[in-house]
Amino acid sequence: MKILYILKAEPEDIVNRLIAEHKKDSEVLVFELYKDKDYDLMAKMIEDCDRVIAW
Amino acid sequence: MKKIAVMLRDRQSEALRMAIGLTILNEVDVYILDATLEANAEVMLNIEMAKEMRLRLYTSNILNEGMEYITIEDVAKRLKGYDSILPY
Amino acid sequence: MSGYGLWERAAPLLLQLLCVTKILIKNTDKHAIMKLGILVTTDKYRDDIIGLTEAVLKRGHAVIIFFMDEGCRLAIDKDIVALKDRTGVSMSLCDLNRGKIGIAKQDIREDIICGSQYDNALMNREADKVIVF
Repeated sequence: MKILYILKAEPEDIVNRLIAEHKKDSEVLVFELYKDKDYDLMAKMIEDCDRVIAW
Repeated sequence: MKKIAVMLRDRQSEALRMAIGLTILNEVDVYILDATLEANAEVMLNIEMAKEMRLRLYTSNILNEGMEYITIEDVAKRLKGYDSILPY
Repeated sequence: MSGYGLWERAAPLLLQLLCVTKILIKNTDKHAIMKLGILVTTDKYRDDIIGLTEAVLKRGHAVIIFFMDEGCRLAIDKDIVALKDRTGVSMSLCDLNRGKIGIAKQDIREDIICGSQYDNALMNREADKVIVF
């Protein structure tokens, strides 16, 4: 399973823990929206993933 | 019908109101992770309503009474089973 | 008796056909039009909502936007509202929040639905993926 995390701000500890857990058995992609404004890439990543979580 | 996880963060009352509304057409579970449930009347009323509507309430913070305790490891596992995950 | 024999012979073929159809459907799904739900709960991500919506539309997908809470403020932003003119974009908002925030109903464009959490539930049911801003 491919899980995309869209981070709107620096991730809190809880978000980092969830990402670490998901990395154990899934492919995790992280899009740092607070740094990166490449919306075309973001749209493609959303299209390609199975789950998306915007924190 | 979709399976949705609502993750309570800093606007708990509105998040709970939304979770309750989402149940009209979807199956909804509510999570509050490390945070503490706000002890104000609006939040408490929405918690009661959520329980009456049989929403499942999970928390990784043992101090949150009236919610089912869950570890972060299990939260991560469960999240993969939802169509949408809505942090609010 | 002979009819039963025919079914027995045809069953493996039908099973194979079903498997091939399933594979075809699975592969086609990846390229199907996606409906992206955008749940707007704050007014902090105006430019991100516009940028992402345009990028998603460019890829041939559809976008459903629901405004609630402080996010209702963006339902009167001219650049956000202009997205509604694009093919494949629909918008609705929580009218209860609109009233609480103090936005007049007449300031909301008439083709944006002043609805309720039912519209949010509908968006979540209809969308393939939902992200929160």
